[in-house]
Amino acid sequence: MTSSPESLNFASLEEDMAVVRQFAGSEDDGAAPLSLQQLGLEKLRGDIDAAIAREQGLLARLRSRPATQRLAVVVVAAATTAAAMAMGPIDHLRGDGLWRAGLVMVMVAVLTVLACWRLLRPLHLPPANRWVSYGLLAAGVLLPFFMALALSHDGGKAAAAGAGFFKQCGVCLAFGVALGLPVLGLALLLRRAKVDGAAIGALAGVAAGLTGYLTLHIHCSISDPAHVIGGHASVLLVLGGAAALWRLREHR
Amino acid sequence: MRCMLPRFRMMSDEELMAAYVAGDQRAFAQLFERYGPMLVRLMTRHIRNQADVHELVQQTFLQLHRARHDFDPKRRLRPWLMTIAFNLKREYYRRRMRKPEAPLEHEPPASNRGFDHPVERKKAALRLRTALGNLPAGQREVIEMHWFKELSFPEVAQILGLSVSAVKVRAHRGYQKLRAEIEAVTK
Repeated sequence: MTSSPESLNFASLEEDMAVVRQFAGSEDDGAAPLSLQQLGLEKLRGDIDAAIAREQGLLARLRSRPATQRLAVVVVAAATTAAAMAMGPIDHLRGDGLWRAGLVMVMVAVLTVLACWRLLRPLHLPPANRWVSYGLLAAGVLLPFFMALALSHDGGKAAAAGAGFFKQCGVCLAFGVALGLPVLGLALLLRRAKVDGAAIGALAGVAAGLTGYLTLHIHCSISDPAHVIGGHASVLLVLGGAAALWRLREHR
Repeated sequence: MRCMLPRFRMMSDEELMAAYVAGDQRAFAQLFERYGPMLVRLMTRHIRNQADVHELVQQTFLQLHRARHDFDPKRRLRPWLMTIAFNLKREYYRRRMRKPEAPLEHEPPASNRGFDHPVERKKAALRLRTALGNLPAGQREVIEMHWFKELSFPEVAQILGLSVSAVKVRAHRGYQKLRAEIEAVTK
């Protein structure tokens, strides 16, 4: 760039851009405005009216609420799911040290809120940096693996060996996915825009997966890292992958 | 359905939006009259499929409806609505994974200023539209919003989520790239 914007000769710039506008710009320039019918907008108006008329019911009312209120609905649903598990036996958490459990809960909660905020972000705001979505995805997926490997647990049971290991993992995986699915559904239903890609779909799955993971962390007394990875952390991969594939199919 | 009441035509965009939020459907009709044609032209500029254009404009107004409680009446409606439209358009391109093409089949505006010969005029329009279409999306958006849709630089910055300086830099770079074509057309 040989000159800065401030040193532009604005007189010539405005003249030049007037030429561009004249030839390639606004169709309103010097021409009589076309009627709605000529632009084919009568049908469009009808379609819009029909789409708005379909916006009935509790879900539509929730979707029209501000983003913070929609976020609160999803977060409360996720927190309630996890809290319900705390009603059961949690002696294994006490054995670990409640600080570990607290650390997991705080980190999962923060990531879940951030992921849900990105999901439910209103369209009238400028576009978010896509790397923020990718970063949240990566953090959400990697956090449980980090928790399993970096934080050793002494208070829980060991995993079974052989075939029993896979059975235990399968039970926890199914449990976590089942608990995360309602949160996934709620997050996707409360999102206003129909258009979103695989990455945002995956983010929804990860947010729901974090709920499933936290629930398992509270409920499951097996603290073996292999079991935590195979049965708990994998919930995020399953839900994130399924949601991403679903969005990919929708866009075909 | 055309809005026949003169008082709605006299109302500002923000007043219309406030009336719509309060439940007056006629205010929405007036908003559609004001912005529907503009949004169709905006989308048509780079999207050839008319069904896709209508879908995007329909989505824009649907999002306006869904987000109506989010609108701050102290702010201007136009950049707010344009942000929604541009976000939808951007998502559309991302899904299609293709760059916008210059609308070669579209006729230039029916204005006789500057050129007498219609063929010369069409050539000039085609040349400038192609050059405009070849600009990076960020520069083209700024040029279209500021010089075609007459939004101020601060409004464009608000829509794109950039600083005013960054918007001016994009405008300047886009203009630099167009200069050679402008000079060739005006020779």
